[in-house]
Amino acid sequence: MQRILLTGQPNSGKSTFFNSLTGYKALTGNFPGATVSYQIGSLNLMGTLYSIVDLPGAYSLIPSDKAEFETKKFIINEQDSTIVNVVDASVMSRSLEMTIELIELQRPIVVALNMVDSARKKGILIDAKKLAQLLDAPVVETIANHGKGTLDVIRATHGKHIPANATTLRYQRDVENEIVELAEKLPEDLVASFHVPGRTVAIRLLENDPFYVKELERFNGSLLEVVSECQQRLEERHGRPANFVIAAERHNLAMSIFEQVTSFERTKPTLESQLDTIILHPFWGYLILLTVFYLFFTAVFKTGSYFEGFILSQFEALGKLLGGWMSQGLGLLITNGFVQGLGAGLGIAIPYIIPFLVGLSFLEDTGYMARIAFLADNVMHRIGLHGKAVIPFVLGYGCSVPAVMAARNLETRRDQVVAASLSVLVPCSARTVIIFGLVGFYLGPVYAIGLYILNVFVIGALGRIAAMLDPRITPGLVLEIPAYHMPSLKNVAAKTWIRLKDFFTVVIPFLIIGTIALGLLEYYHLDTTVNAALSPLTVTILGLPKAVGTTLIFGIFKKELSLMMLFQALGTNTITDVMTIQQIVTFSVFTVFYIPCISTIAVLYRETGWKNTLGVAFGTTGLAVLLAVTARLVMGIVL
Amino acid sequence: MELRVGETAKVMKISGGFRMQVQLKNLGFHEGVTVILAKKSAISGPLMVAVNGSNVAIGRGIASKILVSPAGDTTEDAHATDSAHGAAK
Repeated sequence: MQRILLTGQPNSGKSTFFNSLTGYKALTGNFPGATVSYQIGSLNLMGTLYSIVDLPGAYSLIPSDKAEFETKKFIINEQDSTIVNVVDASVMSRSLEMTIELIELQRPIVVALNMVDSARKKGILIDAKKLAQLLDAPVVETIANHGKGTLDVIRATHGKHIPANATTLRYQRDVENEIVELAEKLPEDLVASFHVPGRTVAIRLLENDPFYVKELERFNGSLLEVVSECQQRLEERHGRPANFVIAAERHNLAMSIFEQVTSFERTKPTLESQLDTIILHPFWGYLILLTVFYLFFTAVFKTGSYFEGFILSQFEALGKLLGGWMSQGLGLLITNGFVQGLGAGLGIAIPYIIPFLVGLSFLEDTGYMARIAFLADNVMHRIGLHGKAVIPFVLGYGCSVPAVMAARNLETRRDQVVAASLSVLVPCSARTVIIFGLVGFYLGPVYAIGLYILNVFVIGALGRIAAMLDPRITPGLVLEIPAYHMPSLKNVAAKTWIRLKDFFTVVIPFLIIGTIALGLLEYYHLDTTVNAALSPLTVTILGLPKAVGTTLIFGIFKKELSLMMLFQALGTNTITDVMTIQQIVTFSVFTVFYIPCISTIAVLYRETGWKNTLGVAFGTTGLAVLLAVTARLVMGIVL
Repeated sequence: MELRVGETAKVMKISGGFRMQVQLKNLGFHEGVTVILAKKSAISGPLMVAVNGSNVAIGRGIASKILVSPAGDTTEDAHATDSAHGAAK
C-alpha cells in the first residue's frame, strides 16, 4: 500500500482533489492526543492500493498553532509517504514558498498544479515543464473540480523521486553560509531522528520553528544558544530579525521561480470583480446577504418539514406494530424507547440537518462564506470579534457542535473561547424545531421571529460585555477572499456526508438512550420525583406546569427532546389546552437559552477546557432563568 | 496615504507583531509587492486588497500597519489607511 499525503494552502482545492479521488469512503482520523482531524481515504488504481491522507490546509509549514504543529509532526514522522502538494495555479507565487519548504524536507514529492483553468481565465499561463525542471519534481496540471488530472498525479507518485534541492534551492551566500555552519554544529543523532537533512533543520531553527526548537531543547538545551548566536549575526548583517531574513530569502526564491515559468496575458475585467462590486456593496451587499439567508433557511425548513412528517409516520406505525407483538412490560418499554429515539433522530433532526449541510457546503464552496465574513466584519468588531468569527455563528444555526469547532480557526485564544462560548447560544436546528413547533405553531410566526431577534440582541450584548471584561483587542481580519467557484456536486455530497457522520455516531445514540431513560423514569414513577425536585424552578420561578421538569432534563441530551417530551409529559397533542400563551413563551425562552446539549458540552470541553465549559453551562442556565422570568413578567403585562 | 479604490501602490513596510506579519506574508504581502485597493466597505469596515492575483480582506486596524507608497514612488512613506482606525470599536 502506498501512502500519499495531500498538503496545500487553504482554498487550493485540496479537499476537492481528495474527494474526487476517494469519494465517500473517507474516514475522519485524529492526530494522537490532539483535536485536529484529517481525512483518510483509499484508492485502488490498476491494482495498486493507495491510502490518501488529506491534511488540514496551511499557508506554511512553520506551525503557528496547535493544529499546524500536529500536522507538521505528522508529515515529519511519515517518512515513507509521498507528498502531493496541491497548488492553486492562479496564486502560484505565494504557494511556491510552501512548495520550497516541502522540497526542503527531502521526501518524494509531486506538485499538482490545480485550477489551471481559472488561472488561464485570469491571464496567468504557467509552463509546467519548466516548473518541473526548476523544482526537480513532477508537476501535473489538474482541474480537481472536474476530476481532471488527479489520477495522473497519483501515477506520477510512482517515481518516488526526491528533488535535488541542494542544487536548485539555494539562498544568498551569507545566509547559506550561516545555515551550513549551524547545520554542522547540530548533533547527528538529533538530525537523524527527524529524517530530514541537517540543512533544513538549521533553516527552521533560524526561523524559530517551534517544532524543531522544542525538539532541540529536549535534546540539549544549551544548543539553543548556538542558534541564537547565528540569528544575531544574521540580524546584524541584514538589519532585521533572522526569521524575517529567511522568510525574505524564500520569498525571493519563490518569486524568481515564478517569474521564470509564468507569462501573462491581458484579459478583460472578469465577471467576478463585477460580481463583487454588488455582492460586497455597502448597501446591496447586506440586502443580498439577508435574502440569501432568508432563502437558505426557508429552503431548509420546507425540505425538512416535508420529510419529517413522512419519516415520523413510518416510525409511529412501527411503534404500533411493536405494541401488538410484544407483551406489556420492561421489554416493550425499552424497544419502544429505541424505536422512538431512532425515529426522533431520523425523523426530526436529519431532515433539517441534511439540507442545512448541503446549503452550507454550497455557501463555502462558491466562496460566499468568505464574503459573509467581509460583510460582517464591522458588526463583529462591535462585539469584540472580527469578521471571520461570523462563521461559527452561521454554523450555529445548524448545530452547535460544528460551530464550536469552527471557532478554532480564529487567531487568538481569547477570540476562540469567546466565539465558541457565544455560538452555543445561537438557536441550532433542534431549538429551531422548538421555536417553530411551539411558538411558531401556537402563537404565530411573529413571536417566532421575535425570539430570533431577541437571541441576536442577547448574543450581541454578551459579546460587548465579554469585550469590556477582557479588553485585549481582536487581532483583526486577514482573510483570503477566494475566487467564485461553481461547487462540484461530488464535493458538496462528500462534505455533507463527512459532517453528517457525527450525527449518526454521536447524536442518535444519545437520543436513543434519552428516550429509553425517560421511559424507565415513567415506568418506575421517578418522573414525579424529578418534577418535584425541579418545581422550585419550574413552578415557583417560571410559573410553568410541574410536568415540564423532566422535559428540561431531557433537553440537555438533545434540545428537541424538550418539545417531544413536552407532549408526552403533558399527555396531550394540543399544548394550548394545558399551557397559557404566557407559559409557552416562558418555556420557549428558557429552552432556547439554557445549558447547551450534552454533545455541545463535550466538544466545548475539548476545545476550551473545563473551566470555560462549566462557566458556559451555569452562565447560560442563569441567563435562561433571567430571560424567562423577564418574558413571564412582560407577557403578564401585555396579555 | 490613504488609497482610493482602484489605486495601485507598493508595500514599503509592514509593522506590527510577528504573528500578524507572518499572516500577511503568507497571503503575499511582502515588502516591494504591488497591491491594488479593490474594495472598501462602509465606514470602518475591512478593505479588500488584490495582491498577486488573489483578493485578501483586511481589517482597517491591520491595514493601518501596512505602509504603502504610490506605485513608482519610493521616497514617501504613507499609510494604507489613515491610522486613526483602531482594530476594536
